[in-house]
Amino acid sequence: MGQLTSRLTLTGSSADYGAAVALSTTKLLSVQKPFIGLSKEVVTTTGANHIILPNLDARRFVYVKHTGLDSTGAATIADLHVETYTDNTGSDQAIMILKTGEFAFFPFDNGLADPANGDDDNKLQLQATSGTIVAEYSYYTVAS
Amino acid sequence: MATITTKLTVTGSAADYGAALALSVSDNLQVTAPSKGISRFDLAVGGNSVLLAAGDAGTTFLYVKNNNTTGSGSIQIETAGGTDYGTIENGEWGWIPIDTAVGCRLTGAGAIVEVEYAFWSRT
Repeated sequence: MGQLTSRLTLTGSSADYGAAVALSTTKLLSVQKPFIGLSKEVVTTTGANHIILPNLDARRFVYVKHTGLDSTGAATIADLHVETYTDNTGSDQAIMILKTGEFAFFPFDNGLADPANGDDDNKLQLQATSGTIVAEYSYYTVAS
Repeated sequence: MATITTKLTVTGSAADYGAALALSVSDNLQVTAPSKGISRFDLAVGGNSVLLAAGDAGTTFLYVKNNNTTGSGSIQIETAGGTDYGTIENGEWGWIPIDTAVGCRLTGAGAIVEVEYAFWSRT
């Protein structure tokens, strides 16, 4: 078991919002195996080929970033979809959309569904809207 | 049009992970209405709160935190239609670029939760 310190800061000007936005929040997370350290994946338009979270009955914190590059290193404006499974039959659904440089950090467990009997419920996949996107990601399983 | 600057840092020790973990990313987001400043409310057990109704294509950047520090209260993150995909326990938070087409709903579980949240729409 290990510790992760996660911190998010959000800032915005008073000119834009009437009052300055200045949020900083920190959480010490207790995590365990399995985890995947900072990794990169060339994501195509076939999300089923880019499952970044295996089908485990576990809650995981996930980091995903759209690097803005495609498989050749050229800039891409394609969107990166983060997709979950909506039932046990393999149907997927986009729940997040990232553009160049954008990132997400979130807990994922798909309702604590039990992925027994081959259910798809607890997988998470990435998909490009066109071409390829180099995505950066990692995940850590929350210690129960 | 306005700008929100986001920064995420995640750190961990070499003893825990084989090599020190030191992730730091930031981004300047161009955002517009609809938006909601940093807000709080109490979410009852089994209660639903639709923060973002399912709508047009696009992205809404959502910050959401379980502001409880003790107890059994948790927040389920769902699409506006009720597809559940995450649970936020005491003190935890998420930064989620929501697909506006599916929206976002929160459901309370275990005990009353003080929810802290904010969102901004991508320009």
